[in-house]
Amino acid sequence: MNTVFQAKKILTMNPSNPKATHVAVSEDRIIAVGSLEDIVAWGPYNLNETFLEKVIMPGFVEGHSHSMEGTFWKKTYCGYFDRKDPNGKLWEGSKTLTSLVERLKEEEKKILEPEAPLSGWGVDPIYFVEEKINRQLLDKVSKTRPIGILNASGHIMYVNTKALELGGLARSGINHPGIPLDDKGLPVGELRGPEAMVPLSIHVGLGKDLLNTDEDGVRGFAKLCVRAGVTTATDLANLLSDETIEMMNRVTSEAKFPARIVPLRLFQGVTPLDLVGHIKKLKEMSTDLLRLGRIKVVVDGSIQGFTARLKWPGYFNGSPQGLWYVSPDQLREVIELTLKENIQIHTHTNGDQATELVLDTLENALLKYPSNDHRFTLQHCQLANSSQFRRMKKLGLCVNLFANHLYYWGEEHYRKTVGPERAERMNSCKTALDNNVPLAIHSDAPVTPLGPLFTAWCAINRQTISGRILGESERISIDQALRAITLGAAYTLKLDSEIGSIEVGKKADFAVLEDDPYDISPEKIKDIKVWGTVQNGRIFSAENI
Amino acid sequence: MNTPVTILSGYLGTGKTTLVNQLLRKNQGKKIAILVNEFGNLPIDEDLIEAKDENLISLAGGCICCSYGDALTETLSELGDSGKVIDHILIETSGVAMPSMVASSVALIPNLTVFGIIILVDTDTFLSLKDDEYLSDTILRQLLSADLVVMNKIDLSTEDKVIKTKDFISEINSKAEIVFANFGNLESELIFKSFDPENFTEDMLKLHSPEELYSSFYYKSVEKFNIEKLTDFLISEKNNIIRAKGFLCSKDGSIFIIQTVGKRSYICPAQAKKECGIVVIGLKDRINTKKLAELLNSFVVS
Repeated sequence: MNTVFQAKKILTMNPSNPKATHVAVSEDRIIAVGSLEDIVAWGPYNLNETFLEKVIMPGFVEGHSHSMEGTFWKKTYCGYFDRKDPNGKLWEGSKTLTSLVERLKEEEKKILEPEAPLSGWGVDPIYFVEEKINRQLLDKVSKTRPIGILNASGHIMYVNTKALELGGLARSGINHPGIPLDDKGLPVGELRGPEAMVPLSIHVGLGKDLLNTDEDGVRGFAKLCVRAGVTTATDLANLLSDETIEMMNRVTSEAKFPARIVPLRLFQGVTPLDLVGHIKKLKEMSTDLLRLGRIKVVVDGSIQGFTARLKWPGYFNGSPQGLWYVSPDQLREVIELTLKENIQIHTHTNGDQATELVLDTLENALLKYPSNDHRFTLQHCQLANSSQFRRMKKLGLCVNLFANHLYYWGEEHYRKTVGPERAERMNSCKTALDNNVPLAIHSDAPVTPLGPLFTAWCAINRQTISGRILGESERISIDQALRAITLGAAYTLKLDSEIGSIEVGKKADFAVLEDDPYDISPEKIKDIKVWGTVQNGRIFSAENI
Repeated sequence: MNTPVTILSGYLGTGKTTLVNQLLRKNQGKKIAILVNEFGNLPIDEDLIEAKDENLISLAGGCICCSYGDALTETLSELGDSGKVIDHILIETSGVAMPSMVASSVALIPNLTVFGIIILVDTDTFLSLKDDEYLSDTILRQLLSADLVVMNKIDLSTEDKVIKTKDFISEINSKAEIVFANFGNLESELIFKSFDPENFTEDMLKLHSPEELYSSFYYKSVEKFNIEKLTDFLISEKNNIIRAKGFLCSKDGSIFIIQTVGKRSYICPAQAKKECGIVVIGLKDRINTKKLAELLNSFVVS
């Protein structure tokens, strides 16, 4: 028997039938949308009135996140902002370094083994202007236990003296660009960049295992999805070893697993040919809740880490040019091979020069292997200029812009990394839409919290943490932003025929909201409460997940 | 004793893999661990391979080859913990990696010492690659960190290109040694030696590169010299001298080691009594050996 959900309002994102009050679900799919009258002819039904006072939208699609957010919550959250863990517990942000030390001390007491490490994540010292995070500060928490805390960007780690000792770095004479030294020639306790972090990360419980999601991590991530109204989320960089696939398959098959996971295979450690061979094999192993068969290529680094590849005139503060994480020739090889085999790639490009390289490479590759609908997607693509958006349209590219960056790091970009003008054009959602480039927007969780409504708020308001409006002319409408977090993101994954809107034949995936986003002022979009989700017709309340 | 590490870098197609295979063939009993970014399309000649699994290949003569992907430091630590006897570690970086960053990271690991950074260059394509919109700065930064630049594939290149490439490289990195090669055919001691001048070894009388491109001559003299002035002469640009190595007698009769590479020189008292003489190497057609000998004679003190 069908289930008919009645709601205060159903926002379908289907242009031919934009609003409804009832949606009928047959098992995992939508069989009818409209008023009760429109639906009755489909036969007997159970009326479900749980959402009588709620607003239903298509389940949100997070087009750029990482399931390791689930794993991170096993460590101490050290961020500045309040943040909810997978179990719904709200962790207050540490607004001062004193409160951060207190927070760490609390967690330290809970660890029984005297030598076990204390690990944290999510700290961002840009909010602590006066003081610095260094080993002396962390020594206040413990002198006997190694401590390591990851920066919110994931590219910097702070450690205490004990951790330095264990890693053999509590000494003078260290000559490494990523390890700043104090007056006495000893490391201050800040390790910049993966090269400097790795020798210590194993000693502080932040080693390789952390980045390879485990079972609990995937389950935790899916819970966070329910809280954010997300029914389909990408795991945007994963090596997808046989063990990982086996584990993810098992976990996503559990009866109560509430989200569709789309892991992309990271291009790393294999040749382009082997990569494509692997992905063809994976494609066949795809299930409804575990969608395999896409590739992620990381082209450059990050803007705030000064490793993104920028076009002239480069970094505002004079930092040297960033780094390539793939060689242009290998990128060409991968793009040609995947076009030939009809496999989809998402490329990470932060700087505008990296974006340009992808455009140039794809343009040439398409002459060799024409494709009408490859939907290659530029991820982050934060600094793209208007000419690049025009080329994206011509070349059939989609873009997934990092709207959350405007809020969290907009001030940094304005003052330090790229300067006012380019900071104002960062993540130009409006220019993308004006040029008809298919648009998604993202959180890059755990870099920023998973929460499409917040991401939409960022794209609509473009407000930095200090309240500055960064690039007013690049603001988009509520309608455009809501489309970007549903159908827009689904389109970039070639899943728009199945998800992203509430219409007949699609998956019964809904985000259930307490308020109508069209009824409140644009500044309040981020404050809308998410009741939970319906995923493949199954109800998941945020409260009880 | 610390295990020496040599970092081998250079853009795609410069011949890194060929060089690695050459080194494995003439390793003279040295147990070498080669760390590559990825195994790729058979980077190691099939006949050298004894056993192979996902991340490790065992090679003839106790050598091994591991792939490290994004986990170089972990792979190095695991190697150290594995109990395998390893005389030398060679890290082949990806084409766009910064070898100086790799070197800094290796230096953080206990029990490892960086011996040097070797950059391979495809002599035939270098001049266009160095102006590439996307790669220019990467290539130059790689070269800046080099201790030794191997100008490979000179047989495919014109003499004009060889000279221009060599001049360009010595201009941006005057401290690096530059050698020429085809198919990576270099003596393995040249690759595995320590480029720290303090560890100067007595391999000076060997000539490491094809005769047809270098002109070298052995200047033999038992006279006493003004060593400092002579060294200044050897490193002055207008003389077209690439390298000079040898022993000469000083004013007070003691014997000194002299080594110059481009604009860099290294002089120190020799530990033992040596036959006096110096090998001077320059680009063919650019040095006149007879005239050079006369000039060197002018530094004799009476």
